[in-house]
Amino acid sequence: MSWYVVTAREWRDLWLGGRGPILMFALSILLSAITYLAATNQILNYLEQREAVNLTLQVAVAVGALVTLVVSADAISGERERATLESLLLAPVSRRAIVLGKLTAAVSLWLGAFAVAVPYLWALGRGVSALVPAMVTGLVVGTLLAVGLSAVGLLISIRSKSNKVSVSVSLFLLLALFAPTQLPTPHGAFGVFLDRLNPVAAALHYLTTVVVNGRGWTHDLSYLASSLAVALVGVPTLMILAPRIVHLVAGDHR
Amino acid sequence: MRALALLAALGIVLIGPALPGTAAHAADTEPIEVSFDQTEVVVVIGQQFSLQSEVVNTGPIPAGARLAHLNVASLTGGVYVDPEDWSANRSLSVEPMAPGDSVPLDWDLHAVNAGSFDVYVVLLPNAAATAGTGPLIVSPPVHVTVTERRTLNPGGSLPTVIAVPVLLGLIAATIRYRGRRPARRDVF
Amino acid sequence: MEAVGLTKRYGGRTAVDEVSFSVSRGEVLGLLGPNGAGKTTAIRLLTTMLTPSSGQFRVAGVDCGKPNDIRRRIGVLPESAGYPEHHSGSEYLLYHARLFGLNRTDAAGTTERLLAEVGLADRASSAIATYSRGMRQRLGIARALVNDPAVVFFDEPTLGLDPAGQRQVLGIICDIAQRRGAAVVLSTHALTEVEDVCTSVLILRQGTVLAAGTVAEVIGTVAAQPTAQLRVPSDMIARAAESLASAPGLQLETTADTLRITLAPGGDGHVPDTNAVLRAVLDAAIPVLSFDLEGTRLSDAFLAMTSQEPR
Ligand SMILES: Nc1ncnc2c1ncn2[C@@H]1O[C@H](COP(=O)(O)OP(=O)(O)O)[C@@H](O)[C@H]1O
Ligand SMILES: [Mg+2]
Repeated sequence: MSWYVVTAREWRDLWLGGRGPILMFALSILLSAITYLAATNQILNYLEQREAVNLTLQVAVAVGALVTLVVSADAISGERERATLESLLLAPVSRRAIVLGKLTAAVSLWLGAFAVAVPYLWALGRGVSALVPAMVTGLVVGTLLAVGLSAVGLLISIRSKSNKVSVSVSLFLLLALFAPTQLPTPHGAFGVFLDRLNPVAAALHYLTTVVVNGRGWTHDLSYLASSLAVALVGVPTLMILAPRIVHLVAGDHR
Repeated sequence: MRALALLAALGIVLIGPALPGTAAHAADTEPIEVSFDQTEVVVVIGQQFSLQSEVVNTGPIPAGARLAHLNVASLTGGVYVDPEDWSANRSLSVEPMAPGDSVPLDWDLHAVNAGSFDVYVVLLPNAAATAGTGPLIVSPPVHVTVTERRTLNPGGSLPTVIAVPVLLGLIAATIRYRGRRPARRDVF
Repeated sequence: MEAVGLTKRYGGRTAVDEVSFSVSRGEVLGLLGPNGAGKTTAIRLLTTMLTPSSGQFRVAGVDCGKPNDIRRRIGVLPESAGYPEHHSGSEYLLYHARLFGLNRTDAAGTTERLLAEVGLADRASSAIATYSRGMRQRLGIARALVNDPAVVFFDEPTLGLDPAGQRQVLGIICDIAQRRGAAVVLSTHALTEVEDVCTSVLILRQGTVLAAGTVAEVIGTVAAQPTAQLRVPSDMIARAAESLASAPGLQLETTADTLRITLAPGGDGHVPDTNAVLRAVLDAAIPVLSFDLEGTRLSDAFLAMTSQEPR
């Protein structure tokens, strides 16, 4: 019952408190620019249609992951800093309920980002027979990433002494995970292994395989292993540890 | 001279089947034909279209299994074709056919590049024993003309590009404005 | 509520050291001490926000091993609490009432009642961002009461408030103890009002208890010698000193226009009566301009204790 009250409050704060809609507005401007450029480019060379869909999808996934992680990283340490955590912890609400509410609210930002991307994908990908499977793949991959990153962000936030530390550590982590996606595709067994180990790079690789290369969704499924692992390890870890690690003072010992 | 050639041809036709060396040759020339139902198509870039072809066993004997393979060739210099992009499924198998049988083959295509192209189908023998042997049977090409499309509304995306941010901006502004105003009493 | 040997260490530093005390329903315990004395830490231990390094406590009859049950029975106004700025006061209270398991209707009723109780009814639907410090404190107090707690903790509730705001907040706190019959723990370093509000006090310095008991008992333990300042017309100082010279147990000290009188207890421990001093001066027909007694207030005891032997 109390988890419902907390979750409803977190969602309302995010979406009616103004932060969510403004982030979505910013994302739509970014996607409009990309879509317009991609569409004008696409006319010259139809080959890029699927690549344009992929690009838009990847931007949505990247931005969704970014805002989800940042909001998660701010969740506990931010309340600590704004001195609102104490009154929340004083309520007879389980730490799990608090963390769950914050996790789902953060992930809802990704779902919002995806919803914003849908009309763009539609506009760019009309006529591509695999558009709907591409969207479904994007939704699944992005949700996997968002859930995993949100859990990691919350763990960082719980353990950080200050909000600044929490947000910078999370942003650094995200940067480190995204950097390899901008490098040329790795060669050699070790490079490929590293690429698969990085949940963000591997998930985006998988997306490209399905959307651009038109491979079946099972073809490079092993690339989803790392993001699946992060989500499957991160969320239970968070839920199991929450009662023991969520404190008014970071790192207070039971 | 002409009569001589005619005589020779008649000799081959009459004697041929009797000769052991020419039995295989006869099998190689199973009278199968493949053709499209049209010779000329004009589409706009980005358009999806389909072409129908038919494989017919015109001879008196059964024909073995075949693999029908679609190909696209650019007749415009400088335009590069990746047939995989033109059609997701370029190979269809054709079961063994009795004399007089026909099999329709439908091909879905995307007009990926602008220019002038020929699309044709090749039939290859499709069995382990015949791998690496012929003969190849080729259809007459369909000539595909893909025209460019340049508008101010690239890919029809302009409405989306404008409408989505406007809509989301309005929503965000509404929520902001509502949040600034004192909340109504009915929050109780 | 009862605590025994409560201790909290941060690394090598001991913030609260072997603190023991108890409070009953209707009582107000004042937790006094200078900044860094460990008041906030003690309250956070008792409210389950921190875990003690050692020691035991029971709050509202619930053992410290059941923090969830304790939280259901207590109300807390944390030190310099923050508030969600864009929420209205009533939204904030409604949310916290719901967190304590009240259904929508009950939560709405409680919200309305508490807002009226702390005098915020007319600003209920304004954003907290527009609230003054005093209003925020009162909102925080209302929040602490949403679950009708048996024990209520206030950590420096008057900090940063103007005198009117302080009086208002202290009035509400008195009400909570008297009308609701809750046990109240009040931490502060501002003493004068606390004398009126608290039934007992606990003076802390650097985590240890310096004195405990009723306000009168604590003042008594200090054994500070009361001093009186007598102001008379300057040409009459000598005569005033003369009139008191024969009284026992008085040490006199004269300045330009005041007579400083230290009332030293005699050998039998009897402290000279200040009325007798005044009467002697009046009998000598000397007009008294002012007569100030020092060292009999809690603040004197507090200052005397907390300034001694600084570590
Ligand atoms: N999280 C912490 N880590 C280390 N030391 C702390 C922490 N919190 C409080 N302290 C120390 O404990 C002592 C008591 O602090 P506190 O309880 O806040 O005092 P008060 O509320 O009486 O001003 C101080 O010396 C303070 O520096
Ligand atoms: Mg304090």
